Amino acid sequence: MNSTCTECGGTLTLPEDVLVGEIVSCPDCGNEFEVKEKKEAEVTLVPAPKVEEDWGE
Amino acid sequence: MSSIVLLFDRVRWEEKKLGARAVQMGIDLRMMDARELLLGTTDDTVGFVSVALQRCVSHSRGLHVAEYMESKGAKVINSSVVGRLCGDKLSTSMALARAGIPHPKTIACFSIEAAMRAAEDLGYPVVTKPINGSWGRNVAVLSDPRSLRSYLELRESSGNPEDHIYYLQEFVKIPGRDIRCVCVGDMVVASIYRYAEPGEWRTNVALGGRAEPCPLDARQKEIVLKAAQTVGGGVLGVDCMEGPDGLMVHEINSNVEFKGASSATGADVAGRIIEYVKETASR
Repeated sequence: MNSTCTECGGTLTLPEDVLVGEIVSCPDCGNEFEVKEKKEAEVTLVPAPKVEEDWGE
Repeated sequence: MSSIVLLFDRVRWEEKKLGARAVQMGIDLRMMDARELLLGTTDDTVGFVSVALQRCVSHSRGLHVAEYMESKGAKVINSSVVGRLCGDKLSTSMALARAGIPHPKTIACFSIEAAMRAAEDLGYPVVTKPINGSWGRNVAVLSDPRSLRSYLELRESSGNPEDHIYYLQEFVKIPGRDIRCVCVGDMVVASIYRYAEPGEWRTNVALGGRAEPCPLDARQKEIVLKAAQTVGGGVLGVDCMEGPDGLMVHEINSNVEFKGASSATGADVAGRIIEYVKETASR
């Protein structure tokens, strides 16, 4: 399953079992994206949210 | 639609593993994105939930969604009470002390001058931590009064009132590692040594700490499980140090990340958590 990086145009190859909410990185520019939607072989990526003060374990 | 849900706001390795193990174990676990929910207090806007496994990476989001689910009658793992207690290091310290669990000497105060006095009492180097927060963020070890005062002045300039609660702790000399125990119900499912990266004193795996299996003896296991029960039990990461007189519990995580512990020990942590969810659902 492939998608295109909105920052650099690189190709992101995603595993078949990728889940909505999962974070993926562009292998070319390193930008992180969140899987917003997944419909069969198509995924919608949005920029990953920034780490906030209250994130953690 | 399944009434057993996993609440998330970011799918980490752990949430993915939990979802996969649930499928393998025949448990219908529905993934529920907390960011998409409408939490109607007078109306039921979410639908029936019997058990919610709360795994939000945002502490405040997780706490409120847990409380909401509880208000609608769901059993939540971990409960909002557990989340609140573990999310505040001062509250955790007080609970551990009350239960007689070995814990580093800790003093909290509300002004720089009081914090300077507390540090004199604890001795240098002294550890300071924000009362909330995770992954070792803003945890500092200060070697002398000058550096402590500078650090405190920086904190004082923050607009967040919680940054003005100074939590100081004795520096326990440890052998370059601490111990992370993953507890599920009344079991320690996995325990690991976490070695600090070269040049780093904090051992958090999030900061590059290395994990190795750590066998616990009966006495150590007893301390760890008692600590977990003290904060209300559930799925917890109990962090310990090897002090001069034995194991000391220094903090408890209510949204434990267990990738490092699973990989280092081979323990099926996700599977045990799913079992626990199943047991909770049948109670």
